Amino acid sequence: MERIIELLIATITNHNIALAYILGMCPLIAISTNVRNAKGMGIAVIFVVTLTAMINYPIYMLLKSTGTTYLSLLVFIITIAATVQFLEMFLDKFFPKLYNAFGIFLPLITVNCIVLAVSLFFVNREYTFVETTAFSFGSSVGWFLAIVLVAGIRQKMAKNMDLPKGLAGRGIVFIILGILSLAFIGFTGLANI
Amino acid sequence: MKWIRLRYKRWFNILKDGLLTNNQIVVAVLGICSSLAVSNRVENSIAMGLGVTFVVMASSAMVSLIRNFIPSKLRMVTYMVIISTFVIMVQMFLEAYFFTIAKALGAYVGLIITNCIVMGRAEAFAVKNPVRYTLIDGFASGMGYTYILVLVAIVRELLAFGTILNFQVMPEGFPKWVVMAMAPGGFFVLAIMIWIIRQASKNFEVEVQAK
Amino acid sequence: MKPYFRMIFFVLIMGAITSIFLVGMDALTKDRILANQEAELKSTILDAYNISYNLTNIHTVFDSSVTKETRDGITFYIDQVSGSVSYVFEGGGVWGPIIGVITLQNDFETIVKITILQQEETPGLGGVVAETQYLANFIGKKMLPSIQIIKNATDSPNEVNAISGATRTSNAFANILNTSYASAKTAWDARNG
Repeated sequence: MERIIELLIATITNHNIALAYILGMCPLIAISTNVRNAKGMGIAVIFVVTLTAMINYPIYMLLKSTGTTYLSLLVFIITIAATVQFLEMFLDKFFPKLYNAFGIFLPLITVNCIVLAVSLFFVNREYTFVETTAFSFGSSVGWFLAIVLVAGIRQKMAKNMDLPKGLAGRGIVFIILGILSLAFIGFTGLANI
Repeated sequence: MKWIRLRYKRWFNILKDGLLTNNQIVVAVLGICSSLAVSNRVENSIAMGLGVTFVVMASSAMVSLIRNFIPSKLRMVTYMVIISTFVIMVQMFLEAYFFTIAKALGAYVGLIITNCIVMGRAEAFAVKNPVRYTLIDGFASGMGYTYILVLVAIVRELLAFGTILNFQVMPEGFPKWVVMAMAPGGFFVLAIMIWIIRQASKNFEVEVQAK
Repeated sequence: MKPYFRMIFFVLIMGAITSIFLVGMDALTKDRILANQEAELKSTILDAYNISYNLTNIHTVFDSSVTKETRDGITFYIDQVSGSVSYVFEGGGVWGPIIGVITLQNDFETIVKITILQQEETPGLGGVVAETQYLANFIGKKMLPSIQIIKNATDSPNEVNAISGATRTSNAFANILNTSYASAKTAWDARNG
């Protein structure tokens, strides 16, 4: 139990997958224009990352037992795409309101680097199934935190600040991210993954 | 005569697009994850840039070859599968026949596979265009990525380590600004680079006010 | 239903073709890769013992100067002249496995040399862990009771300076060295005692 709490704390703070490992930047920069979109994307990412990590775990164990781990990258990508596709169809059929709320985010998640990265991380660090679930959930919550933070700042800046034209839009996001990642360095040593 | 001039214009435009007007890092803002990680040293940037250029050209060409057979909903998966298979095969080949090069590039392989530029070009160009133009586009995008990376790396390596390509440029007493080699430094230098280039080319982005 | 069948069919075909490519490539290159890795391991160990060799006689030189003993799953490479011992250590770094060779004097405590064979850390930061200049800091240090990689290390035989800007990799590296040493020492003591 302590291990789970430690993993959750670590993945949200000093091992934050967006602000410490700098992964998943492309969708983060694109979707952080306002907090509402950011929240939608973030929640969708939490679902997909946790679900796919849990599915990829037994598949990886199977590959390991047959000695074909070099196929793991390929297999992970296919399971991720399949999971997202099924999730889309499932939501469309049983929870159409939720499906409409997610909108275009679900297909975009397939290409979010963190979905693949989380699976590669659990392989590299040899986590157990429970650790993998906690790690994937925590990492995606960490990413959710990052995108909402950036969106909140961007939204406020767009309304109130007079930015130089060259920095408007995506330019300023980098400065925001720079300051945020600098701040998160302050968490170093907090918890171990 | 007119026909030849038209041809000439097309590939030239594709080249200009990838290098300048639609530069993948500065204008399209793609491939950021990897740019930040490797642009802290010039030699890494050159290696990564060449690697990405090669992969974009080859995988885009493959996508372009089978573009008429890919079901619309499966585009993204197809690109990822083609790209990762290709990169893994190249890595295996290097490990077998050019062991030292493979060692040096080992860390980048994962970064190249998830590089949004490779997928971005496949989706935006390769799937709609014949192979010969795709190759030019891949080359232009990759080179556009490379030179921006090298420019950023020169600044970062100079400030963080006092060297360029491992040649000591700054005097011995120079206080090393290590944070420049880490993520925040990458963000700041990239932001300034975007600012300068967008200001110079008057290529501004309108901040969309979402409700 | 028909479009779904077409999609599944396409994925299966694509998965099959790419798997065939990968399996084929693996079969073609597996032996050469293993040979390359073995040659690299041997050259690393011979270098640590200051034994000269060239590309053609490396295997014969190795077999005549180094004794290979396996115990409890750990393979020791012992220098016939000085009695120094080397073994391979492996563990999880931040981005991927860190694999290397550590050479100890015949007291099985003092470090003669550390060489890294494989790592995937951030170039310029964690990647420094593989650089000869950094690894030179370990020469003469002692593994017992444990090696510590910390900021502002003193001259104590157990302390080595961490890589500036790469706290996570430094911590992971210390962990790998100590964990692998614990198992190696148990096996070594069992061999002698």
